[in-house]
Amino acid sequence: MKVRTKVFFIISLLVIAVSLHAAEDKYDKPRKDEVILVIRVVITPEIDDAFYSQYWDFDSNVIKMKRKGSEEGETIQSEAYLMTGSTYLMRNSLFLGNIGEFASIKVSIPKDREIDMDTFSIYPASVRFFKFHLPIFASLKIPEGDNYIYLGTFEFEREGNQFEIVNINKYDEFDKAKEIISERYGSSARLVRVPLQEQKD
Amino acid sequence: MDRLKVSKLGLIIMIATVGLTLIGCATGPEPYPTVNDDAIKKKEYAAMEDHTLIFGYIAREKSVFSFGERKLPIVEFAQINPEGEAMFISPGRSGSFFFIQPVPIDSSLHLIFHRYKEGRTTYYTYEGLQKGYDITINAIKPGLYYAGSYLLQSVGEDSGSWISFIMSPDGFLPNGDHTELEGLKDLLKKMKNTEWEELITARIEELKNES
Repeated sequence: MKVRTKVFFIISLLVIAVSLHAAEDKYDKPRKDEVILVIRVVITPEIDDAFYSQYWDFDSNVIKMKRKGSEEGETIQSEAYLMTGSTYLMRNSLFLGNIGEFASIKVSIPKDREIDMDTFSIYPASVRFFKFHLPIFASLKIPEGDNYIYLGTFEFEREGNQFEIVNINKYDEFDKAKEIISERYGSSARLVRVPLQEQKD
Repeated sequence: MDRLKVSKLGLIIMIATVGLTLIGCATGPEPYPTVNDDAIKKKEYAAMEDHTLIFGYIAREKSVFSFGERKLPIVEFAQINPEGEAMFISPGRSGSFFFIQPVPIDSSLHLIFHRYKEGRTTYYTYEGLQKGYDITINAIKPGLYYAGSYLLQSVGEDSGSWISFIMSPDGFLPNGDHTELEGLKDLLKKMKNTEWEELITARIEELKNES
C-alpha cells in the first residue's frame, strides 16, 4: 500500500467512526452557552398523513418525487420546524421532528439572551410542496443559568383542506416533559418554565 | 449497393431517434393535461355526470420590455381534498389558456408550483397549502366551470425601501383580460369529438345571446 492510500484509508475510517458516534448520541447535553427548548405541537383534526404520503409515489410533468429505495404505499409522518429570527435575511429553521411528539432542540444562546419565535412550519408527510405555517410571533427571554426551558404544548385547531387556523390553545404538560427530559439528558437536567413575551418592534 | 441501403435506413432511424429524444427532453407546456406524468387520452375523459371540466387563463404581468401577454410556462396543480384521489395535474395549455381533464365533484385543485425563465435566471415558486395569492379551484357542481383569468404580478406592499422592492413577493390576482366566451371557444378546440362538445356549444350560444 502506498502511503497516500493508507492515509486516505485511515481518514475515511475516522470519518465513518465520527459520524456513527454522532448518529448514536441523538440528545447531546447543552454547553454553557446553549439551551434546550422543550416544545410540543399538536394539530386538530390531525393531518391525514396517509393521503399526502401518496404523493411520494408519483412523478409529475415537472416534479420528481419518486425516491429510490422507498416503499410504495408507505405512510410518512408530518414534520414540524420552528422558525426563529425576526428579519427575512436572518431566519433560522430548527427541526422539531414529528408532529405531536415532545421535541427538545438545542439552540445557542444569543448575546442578548432573546430568541424571536415566529412560526411553526409544517410539512405534511414531509412533502415540501404542501408546507404551511402556524403563527407564534412571540419572544423568549432566556434566564441566566438555565439550560433547559419548557415552552408548552401548542394546539392549533384548523378547518378545511387549506389549514385555516380557527383557534390556538396552550397547555401545560410540565410533569410529562420533565420525565422525558431526564430520560434524554439524565436526572441532573433541571427543566424550568419560561413564559413567552410579546415581540418588540 | 445492398449495404448502402441498410446504412441509409440506419441513418434515418438514427436521426429519428435523436430527434424524438430531443423533443422528449424539451419539457414545456403540454397541449393536453397529464396526471402524475401520464398523458390522458381524450377517450379516457370522464363522462359528464358527477364531473367538472375546469378551464381558465394564467399569464404573467407585462413588462416594459415585452409586447403582448407573457406566458407562464410551467404550472402544477395537486388535488388536496383528502377524501378524493391524490394526483399531480399539469393542465393542458395553449398560450395562457389552460384546461384540466374532467375531475370528480368535491375535488380541490390547488396550484402548488410554477416556474418561468427570465434571461438566464429560472424562477421557482412553491406555493404551499395555505390560502394566499395563489389559485385554488373547487369542483362544486357537474358541468363546465370557468375558473377566471389570472395574472402573476407583484403583490407585496411597497414600503419604499430597497429591500421591500427586491423581496416583494409575486402572486396571482384575477384580471379581466379574457372572458368566459373566449375560454369556451379555446376549450371547444380541445374537446372536439367528446361528449362535452355539445355542452360547450350550448353555453357559447347562451353567452352570445346574452350580450
